[in-house]
Amino acid sequence: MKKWIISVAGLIVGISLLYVPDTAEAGKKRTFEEDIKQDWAQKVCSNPESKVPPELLDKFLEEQKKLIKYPKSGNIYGDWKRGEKLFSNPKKGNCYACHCGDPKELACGNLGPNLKGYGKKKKDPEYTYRKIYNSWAYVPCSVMYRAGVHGRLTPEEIADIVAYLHSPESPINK
Amino acid sequence: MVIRYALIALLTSGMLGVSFGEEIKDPAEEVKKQKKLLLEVMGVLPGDLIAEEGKEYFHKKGPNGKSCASCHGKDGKGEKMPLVGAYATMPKYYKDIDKVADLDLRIKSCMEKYLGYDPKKISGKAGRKIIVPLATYVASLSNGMKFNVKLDHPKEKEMFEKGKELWYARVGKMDFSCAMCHDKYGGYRIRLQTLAKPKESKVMRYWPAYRYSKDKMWTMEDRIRGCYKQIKVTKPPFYHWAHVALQMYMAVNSNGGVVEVPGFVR
Ligand code: HEC
Ligand code: HEC
Ligand code: HEC
Repeated sequence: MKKWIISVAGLIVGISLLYVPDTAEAGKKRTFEEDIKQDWAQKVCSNPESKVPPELLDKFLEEQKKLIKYPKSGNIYGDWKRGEKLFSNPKKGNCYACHCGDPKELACGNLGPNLKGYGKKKKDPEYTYRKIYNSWAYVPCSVMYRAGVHGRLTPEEIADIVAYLHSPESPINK
Repeated sequence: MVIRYALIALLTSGMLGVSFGEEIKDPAEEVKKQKKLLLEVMGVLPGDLIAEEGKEYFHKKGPNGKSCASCHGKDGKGEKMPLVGAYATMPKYYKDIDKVADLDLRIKSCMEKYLGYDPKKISGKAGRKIIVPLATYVASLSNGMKFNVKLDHPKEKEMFEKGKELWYARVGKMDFSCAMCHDKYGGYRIRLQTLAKPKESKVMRYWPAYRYSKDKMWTMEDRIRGCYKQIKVTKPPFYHWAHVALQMYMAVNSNGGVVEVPGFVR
């Protein structure tokens, strides 16, 4: 009950609270001009249809796949309990901004599919890992940000979230 | 002061209502309810008080002894350079400053150039305290009129193109663009927040707006900064060209919309 109240308090403030500024990067003052510089993929996606032109599609997917890196240990299936925290933390995964998942979490967005029962769908955990690391390697220009590419989540943190989505113990799959 | 406390209590209770309601409330209904509640408690909407404050500034003398009314007339209704209807045609290119300006920048320019304000003293927060109410008041002088922004001057066309580019640009560590949240996913929910459709709602017609969730009057520059902050992109400073560009793009998309300022939004 207590936890519920706290999570509820968070959502009152709404989105501004979901996107708390990075503390890791504090210290160095960035400018608007620097921050709106785009990488090649972002440029390609910046059109009203948010689509990659067909003639660039192969190159786009290939480049995005190349950006995916794995944990040093090689293990892409981490600790689901840590993954649970990362999934909901607005400063880390912030996945509830767009996905529902654990039915207890009511403050969830609907831009992305509901991930409840995701682990029962027999998806390959390696796909899940790669999708979270670089969502654009599968769905070019998706609204889902490229968490690994931008260093928002480390490979190890992504592995923890993979466990959270796949483990039969996880509230996602209960 | 008493009013302020009542307001805060009201807002807090209203918001708790939102958070504990298991069902997702219709955001338009929620705004209506909040507006009605505020009117009942205060007898007047905060935005209207801020417009009144702007009207006072408009007729008050600046450092050089002139007021806005000296040139634009009492209540902005001068024979020369009246401001009635002006907001519905902004942003616009101005020869005297050789710039395309939005409301905030135009007012700041007049304060510096014609009222003798020291630019350094009004570039920050102290300036916003005057400029926001003035913008609210000046915009309200176009109430009932239709938005009609034209792209006659080459610099206006250029600004529109830059604004359109920014609107669609996927930027930053969240890979977002204005368009992703407000066109493609307009009407969807991020967490519990329903995403607005500013083009469809002809958004410029009801800004500057009073935000009841923050108990603050915001101009469109504040709104744009807020949206960039959400997507972890360093906010453009006030009066930056990006504000003018994005508003030019949104204003053209607001053409035909009837001005109703101050707006009242979440
Ligand atoms: C801004 C919205 C947004 C955010 C934030 C977001 N996603 Fe997504 N996600 C989507 C959308 C939209 C899709 C469907 C389109 C696609 O695959 O890109 C999706 C798809 C997925 C899929 C694939 C589902 C399937 O059935 O193949 C997974 C897994 C996923 N997201 C996990 C996550 C995780 C974990 C996070 C947090 C690190 C996250 N998402 C954050 C929007 C988002
Ligand atoms: C000394 C005269 C003078 C004073 C005082 C003055 N302005 Fe101006 N203002 C101008 C001129 C000149 C223009 C440009 C007119 C044009 O090019 O259409 C202008 C333009 C404007 C516009 C845009 C009008 C339009 O039709 O697009 C607004 C809004 C405005 N002023 C607001 C103010 C405010 C608010 C103040 C007080 C802080 C103020 N002005 C003080 C001279 C003045
Ligand atoms: C992550 C999603 C997101 C992105 C990206 C985003 N916004 Fe917003 N924007 C919001 C939310 C949420 C609101 C509504 C705030 C509220 O209701 O409290 C909003 C409100 C607005 C409004 C006011 C709408 C109204 O009807 O009053 C405007 C205008 C706006 N945004 C413009 C922009 C511009 C311009 C950009 C690009 C620089 C942008 N937004 C990027 C989420 C976003």
